[in-house]
Amino acid sequence: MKTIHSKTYLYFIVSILALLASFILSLDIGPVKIPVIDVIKSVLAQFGIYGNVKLSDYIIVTQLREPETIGAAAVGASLGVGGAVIQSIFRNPISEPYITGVSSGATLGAVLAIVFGLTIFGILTLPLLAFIFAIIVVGFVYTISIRNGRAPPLILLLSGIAISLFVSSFVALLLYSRPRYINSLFFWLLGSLSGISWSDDYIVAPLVIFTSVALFFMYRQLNALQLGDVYARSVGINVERSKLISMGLTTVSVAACVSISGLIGFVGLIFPHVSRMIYGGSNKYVIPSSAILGATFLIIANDIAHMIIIGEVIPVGIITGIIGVPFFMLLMTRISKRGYYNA
Amino acid sequence: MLELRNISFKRGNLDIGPINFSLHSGEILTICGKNGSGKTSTLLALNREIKPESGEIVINDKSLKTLKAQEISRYTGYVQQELPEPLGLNVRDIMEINGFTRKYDYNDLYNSMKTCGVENFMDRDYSTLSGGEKRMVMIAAVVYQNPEYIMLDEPSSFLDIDKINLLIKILKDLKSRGKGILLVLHDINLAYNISDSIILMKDGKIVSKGSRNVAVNIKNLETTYDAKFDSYMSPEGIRFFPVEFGASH
Repeated sequence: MKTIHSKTYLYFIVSILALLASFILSLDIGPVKIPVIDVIKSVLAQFGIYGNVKLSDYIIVTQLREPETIGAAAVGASLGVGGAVIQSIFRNPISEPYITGVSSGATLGAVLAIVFGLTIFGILTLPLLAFIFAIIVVGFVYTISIRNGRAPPLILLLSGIAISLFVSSFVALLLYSRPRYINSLFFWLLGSLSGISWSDDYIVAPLVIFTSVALFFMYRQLNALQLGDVYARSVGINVERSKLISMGLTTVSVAACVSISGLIGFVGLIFPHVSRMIYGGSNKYVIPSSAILGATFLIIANDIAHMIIIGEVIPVGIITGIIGVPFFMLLMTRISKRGYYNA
Repeated sequence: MLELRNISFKRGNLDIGPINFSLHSGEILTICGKNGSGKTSTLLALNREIKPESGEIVINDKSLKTLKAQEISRYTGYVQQELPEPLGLNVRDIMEINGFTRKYDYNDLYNSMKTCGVENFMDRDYSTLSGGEKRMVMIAAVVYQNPEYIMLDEPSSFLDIDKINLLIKILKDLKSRGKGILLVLHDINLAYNISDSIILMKDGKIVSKGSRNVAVNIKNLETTYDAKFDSYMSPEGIRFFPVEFGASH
């Protein structure tokens, strides 16, 4: 009998309910007080269900608050899944999705847009350049790591770190020569979800859903890669193709998210670990769980970023570290008595 | 039949090859030799980790180069010398990984684990097992994979005496099921006891090969290991030992 422990179901149901609750509560937070029930009605009204809600409430919820919350969920999910995938490919528990050069590439794109005032793609110039440069840098890292038609994890990891540093040096040089732009880039580097619109969500959310589902269906290949390339090859996995596809999907997803949110740390590193502490190491559970927990966490962190100073939004990247790290340390002391974290 | 035809390649400063041998179904073939003689490298070449500079690997009359990854895993399985360090996978996950190219069959999975005495570890985190238990899980996994030819690199390392006995039983059972088994072993007497054929390797070259009583004799052992050897008859059969080592005891 192939059984899934009933506790696994329970944990998944609880975490999905937590995600839904944080989503609804997030739409409830803001200067205009709207009863929770009207928030729910507004959300449902978008799908033509339960339509009797005040028009002003409906607009505030669906046009002002919802895009940012969905953006937070998409970015959190993407980083969580990306972390699980990258840690499996590199067999390295301290790697995270930015390590392949996504973040430095995106930053270079953003800096070029800011410093040179580029407007070639209109208001989408900054996110598009960030996205394009992220893809270019990861592509370059992957290409230079190839030895005899293969990309060994250690070479890939070192190339990622080295090229990231190289690209970041150019970013620093550009800013050093034009210090008046440091402020605008500073906010981008800290990561912020405010200003995310439906037009961002329409592109990024389906992309994150598609890539996450595709990566979930690669869980067996990603599990095998944890045992090493030789091992994975011996059980019938096309190692190079699996790595290329999973890294490609992760890069597209994370690059798209970084392009609308800037750099948000912590999520991609930690939630795969939290998921492993709960479910064990199989990506069958770690990938969906990292998506759900990453999304929930970033929604909550973004709410806190809104609430700390009235009328002002603190960059969410600051919050993720300040509330995330103590939360993680607490969790480690409680759950890490089991298995892998105690071996 | 699994064949290496004139395989040669470079590993570090060592020129390995030309290596020629074949492994038949229902045969246990063991490679012995000093550290760094090219035993593991030969297995790595068979497992596509090292690309041979010349020669050809042929499985059941098909060139390895023409076979797809999934097909190869139905022909060959491989237990490496090093134990992997996955990120919290449990034993069941690992068994399922080895079942990547076959239909999921719980009974077979359970029986493979039972054969190796690890059926109670099904839901244990692999990283919490002892070295010997990890090794037996690796062997159970390749038994579940069920390829025609199984390669095991130093399978007796980490194992205590009763586990080595179990290993011998498993290998003999696999052989009786028609599996071809390629081993790399340090223990020449263990190799001699359980193998049909033996290959002795030194500095990347084959010193001798053939049925065990042809390939292994005092002269060949002395050439292979650069040490003086002697032998005696024991209840289990002939036993070889290095003379300097024996004299000091």
